[in-house]
Amino acid sequence: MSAILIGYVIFLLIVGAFAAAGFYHAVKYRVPGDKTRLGSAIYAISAIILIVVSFILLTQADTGAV
Amino acid sequence: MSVNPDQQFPGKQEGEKVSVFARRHWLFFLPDMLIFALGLVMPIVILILLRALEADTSGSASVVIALGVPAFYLSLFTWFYIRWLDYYLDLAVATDRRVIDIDQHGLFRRTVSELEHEVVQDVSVEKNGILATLLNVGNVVIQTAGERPNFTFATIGKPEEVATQISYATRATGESDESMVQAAEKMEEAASKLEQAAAAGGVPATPPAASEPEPPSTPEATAPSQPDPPTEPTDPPSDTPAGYNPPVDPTPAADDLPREYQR
Repeated sequence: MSAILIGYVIFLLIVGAFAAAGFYHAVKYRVPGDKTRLGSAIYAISAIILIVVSFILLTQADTGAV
Repeated sequence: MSVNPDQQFPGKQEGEKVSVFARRHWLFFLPDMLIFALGLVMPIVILILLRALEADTSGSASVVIALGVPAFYLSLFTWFYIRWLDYYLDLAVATDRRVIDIDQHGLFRRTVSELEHEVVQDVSVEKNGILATLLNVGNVVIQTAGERPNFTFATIGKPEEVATQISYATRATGESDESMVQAAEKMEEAASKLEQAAAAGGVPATPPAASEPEPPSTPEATAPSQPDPPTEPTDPPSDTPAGYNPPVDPTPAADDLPREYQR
């Protein structure tokens, strides 16, 4: 269980690095009036929801609820 | 195609007016959208199949599902976000000075190419396929002079309008260049006339300052065949203003002339 959790955290760090690179490009090369902010916000909200849901599911799985 | 002339873009110069500002058509992004849609459905289909087959999803399998499904979606969303940036940060820009092609390749490679209007020789449009024809999508190819590679704005919407705008912008630059060349030719012509006059009549090649009056240009004063004795150079004419210093008379003195001129 702990090995899976550590692997998941490493996976989250890698995804976070790519996300950070994406945000950097979106901020640096954006053009006034374009949709890079909107797209980045949608992605960030989706990613946060997914991470929260994954930890909720993990807690339930640990108790044998899933 | 209406474009704000003051539209901002990365690397814009001061006072530059934008005539074309275009992104790739969404048709270019369609394969990525289809893959994303397929990825959204896939885990749900797999879970439904597992339930239908009455597979054991308890214990460690439940942990794998609890982490695997969100991890898959997280990867899918991140991939789609990066692909979308790759698509959305590509720009085709034409201004009153240059043509710029900005290509974003993934997250770690970005190419910005620019072309001055002077080297643009021809602008053409390519449309390939039924979808491209129906949706009015194509490539705008800019042929260049010399060894520079051709410029291609790939998968642009309304490519004819973009090509027309680029042609118009480059032609306007060419016309202004022609007028400058004509002005330069006129200046050269005037300078050569001035030199000829100086060689023929002894008039100094450099024009006098604006505040000084014209030097005497009568044949008596300039022609070498008139060996009149030079007048006093320090005596100004009676109607000249105070402080006037006339230019030195270039006519040589009678004694200095060659013998055939001394009559």
